[in-house]
Amino acid sequence: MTLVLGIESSCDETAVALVTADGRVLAERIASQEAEHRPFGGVVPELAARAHAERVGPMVQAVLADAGLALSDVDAVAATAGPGLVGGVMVGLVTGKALAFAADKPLWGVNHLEGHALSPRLVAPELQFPYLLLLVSGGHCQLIAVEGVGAYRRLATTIDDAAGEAFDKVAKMLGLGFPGGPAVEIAAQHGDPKSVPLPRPLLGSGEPHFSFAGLKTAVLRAVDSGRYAVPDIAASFQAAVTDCLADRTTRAVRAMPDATALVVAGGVAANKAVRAALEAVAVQHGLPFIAPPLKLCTDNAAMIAWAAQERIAAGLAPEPDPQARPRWPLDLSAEPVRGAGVKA
Amino acid sequence: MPDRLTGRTLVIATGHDLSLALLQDGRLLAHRDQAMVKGHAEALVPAIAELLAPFGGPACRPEHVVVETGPGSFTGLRVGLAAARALALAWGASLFGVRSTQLAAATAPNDGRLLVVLEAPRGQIWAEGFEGAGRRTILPPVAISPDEAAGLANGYDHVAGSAPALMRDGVAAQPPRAAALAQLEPGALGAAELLYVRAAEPA
Ligand SMILES: Nc1ncnc2c1ncn2[C@@H]1O[C@H](COP(=O)(O)OP(=O)(O)O)[C@@H](O)[C@H]1O
Repeated sequence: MTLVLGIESSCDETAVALVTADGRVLAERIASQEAEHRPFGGVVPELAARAHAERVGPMVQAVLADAGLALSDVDAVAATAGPGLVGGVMVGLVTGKALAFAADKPLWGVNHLEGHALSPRLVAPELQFPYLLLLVSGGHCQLIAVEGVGAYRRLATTIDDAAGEAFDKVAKMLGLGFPGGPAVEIAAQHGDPKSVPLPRPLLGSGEPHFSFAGLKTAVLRAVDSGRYAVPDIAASFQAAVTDCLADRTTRAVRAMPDATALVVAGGVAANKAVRAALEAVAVQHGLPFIAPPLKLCTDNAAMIAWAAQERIAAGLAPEPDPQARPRWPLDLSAEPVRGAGVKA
Repeated sequence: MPDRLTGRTLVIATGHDLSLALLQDGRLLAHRDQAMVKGHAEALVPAIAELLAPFGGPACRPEHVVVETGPGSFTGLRVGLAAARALALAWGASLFGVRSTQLAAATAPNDGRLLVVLEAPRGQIWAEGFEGAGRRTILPPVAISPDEAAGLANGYDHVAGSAPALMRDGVAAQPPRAAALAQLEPGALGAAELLYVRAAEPA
């Protein structure tokens, strides 16, 4: 059975995994760079690239050893080719290319977003196309109609910040540290979500997109006013983001009547309030709600290997000599959105 | 580190130009040099494939891989290291590092004191000072201004490297070349760990 070695290095996680065609993850390792970036309150691209360069080779070796396999047992190598921090992407992609060359195997340059988009099928093989995907991470906030392998229609994206980015920035304003998402969620447990009046940008809007910049500014004003306690601000902010995500997702569900399921992926999907609100949207529209386990929601290499497996199974051929791309939209025909930049 | 490089050795130098070499028992079999400032990530693996093609391609399976560790372009060096690690792993080859300055020193006269000067970003210079036939380091790799480098050079018998303005009469400036490994004592090789010698920010 086809065995793919996957490599992920597009942000602050170095990851390597071995995945079979029937979706078994034979071995996987993830090294987070949280400790390196924490003193700076965010991901520093040069430090990320250094850490990937130190770790990715030894991790390939370790994952093969974990599975008791040799590189010659692998049928194809898959590496993230973008979008992401290009210094890190280059390190992972060149590693993949060198492994593939030396072992005389095909190399797949995988779109990281396609990895996220197809990852639910790794854990829910019954999931059929087309489904609606909400991708909410530190770098992206998109609603995508996943119509098949390689067939993606972007229904909405952010016009400014990604949702995870907003969590991280608010955490910084509140002095909660990095990464911000989990810290805000913990602080919010002790706060009143109705205590701070905050805007819900684009709520109910006729346009499909997300926006979080205005909310972030309003949080900054609330912090500066000195009138509110940290847990109250955290809870109110989380409630506002949740309302926006649920509202925009509802709009997309209505715009995609043939959707078989609502699927959520990305680090923000770890947030319990967010998850609960999205599940409610799914239930309301009679759709199954699928949220892959957390380690598959955030950056990982199993989804990169799996995306290649899906492409192999669909009879597609790898792009010859793929290059590292900082920006690589899943839906190339999607209209550029003001302010979205690489997040589109 | 090894006393000899028996069998085949692939040398990858990506900190300055894109420079590759294949050695057999320490002697040069083939090399490939391409002037390059950016774009090592795109060009590297195809260039390795081309270099090895006459020797069986991937089946050439060198026993050793030596990678340039700097000082040089951080991005170029990282890409070189990533490829070197992956190839060594795939071929079961041993992996060593060589400094850019050692490669540049290898083809220079080896009597007296030698200052190696390499062009760094923002008009800076990476320098390392060596002494004697054994190429003992007397000034560890630093990033300095061209004026400082010119001042330093006064205390040296020879100057080599890639900074044309600092070369003496009759000495051509040349970036580190992978093929120069054939002129180096294998004992001078080190671990495959990158040297990040940062050129100062403009004042
Ligand atoms: N419990 C949580 N609540 C809200 N946001 C979270 C939570 N856990 C993680 N996040 C956010 O998810 C993002 C990281 O997710 P990930 O999928 O790795 O994204 P990326 O690779 O785009 O940074 C960060 O912005 C982080 O703050």
